[in-house]
Amino acid sequence: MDYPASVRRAQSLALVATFSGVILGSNLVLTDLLNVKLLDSLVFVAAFLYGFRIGTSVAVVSELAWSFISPYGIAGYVTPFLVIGEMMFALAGWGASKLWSGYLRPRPAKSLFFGALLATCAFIWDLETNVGTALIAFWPQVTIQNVLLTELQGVSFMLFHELSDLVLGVFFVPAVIFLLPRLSKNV
Amino acid sequence: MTSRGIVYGMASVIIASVVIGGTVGASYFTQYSRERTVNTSLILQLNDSATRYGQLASNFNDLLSSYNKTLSLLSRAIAVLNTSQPVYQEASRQLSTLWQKYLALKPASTSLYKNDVLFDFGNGTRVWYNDTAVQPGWNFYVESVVLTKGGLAAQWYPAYQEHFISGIAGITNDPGQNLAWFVWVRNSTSGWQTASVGIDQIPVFNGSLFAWTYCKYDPNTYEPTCGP
Repeated sequence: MDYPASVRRAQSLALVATFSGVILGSNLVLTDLLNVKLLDSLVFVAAFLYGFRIGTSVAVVSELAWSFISPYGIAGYVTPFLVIGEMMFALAGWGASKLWSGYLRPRPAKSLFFGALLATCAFIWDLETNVGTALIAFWPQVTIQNVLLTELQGVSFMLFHELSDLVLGVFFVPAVIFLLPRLSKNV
Repeated sequence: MTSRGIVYGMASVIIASVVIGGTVGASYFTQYSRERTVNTSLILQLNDSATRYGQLASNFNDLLSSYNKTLSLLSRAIAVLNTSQPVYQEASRQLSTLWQKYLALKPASTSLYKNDVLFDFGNGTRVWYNDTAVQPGWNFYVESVVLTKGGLAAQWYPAYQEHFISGIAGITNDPGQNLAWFVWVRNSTSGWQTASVGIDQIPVFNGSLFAWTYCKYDPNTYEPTCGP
């Protein structure tokens, strides 16, 4: 059925609001597990199922909101780096949906691919935000050595993030991609 | 002497005694009355002072409570400040001094956690901070900042809300020689273990036992070659 533009706009807004709400709620629940969040996975899922525009909107809204309401405090100058980094998960989700359009049944090989894709995105996100960290920390005396040192020192934090994204990509993402369209059909 | 003379003499003595006794009595009564007035005034002053002392004590406790709240906010601010900013360096130095002042002034009823922390500098110098009073809610990063009087070199990663500790009291990590600081947590079942989470995620609690050690690590596994 072809809905009028206003209905589609309302649907899009509802999707972005719902995804962002779930992301923020889960972030709060997982507050104590600092580098383990459903944010990346759900942005990926939103873009995979509903397109790049929805995925990007979810990424921007949820990352921006979390940067301000996190119990650990306001993220500050690093926020733009977090938001841009998060948009990459939307791009990856949208790209994956182009490769596997119609893929709705979890398969081990493809689940592994999702995990690897999310871990790679997490790795790039980590590199990018660490560059942001170095820029903020050392500005205006930013040198290549400072940036590299910041990247190297952040490895221990990066590993937890990438490992958790790998696990969530293998188990959580395929399950949500499989279940969500079926559940929403019944709503 | 005639009997009339004796009677007059005795009457005179009695009258004189009554006059002298009355005068002395009146004098003491006057003094008594004056002292009583002064006493009443002193009692009023004492009561007033007691009321003022009560208010002062209450205000002092309020002030200490605000001081404590300020310290908590300062410690939380330090925990999320960019470590290269001068404000962080100043605040982290001051936090220790402010905390020591608070400990000297705090009411006896205030309950704080107490724990033990070891700093092993890897050159034979081992410093134990036993029964260290810490504020409930602090993490080990804040406690380390306080114990080292701000001598904790760290890089703040806002994206992960974590600190990477690169040096303590002027002794810094040296990747060229595979030397680094390691944080250890001791529990009753498995003994000393290197912390599996970042220092900001280690809560301090009553009786907790932590250690910092500076030593070489295996470049392949990043496991330290020493222990506390």
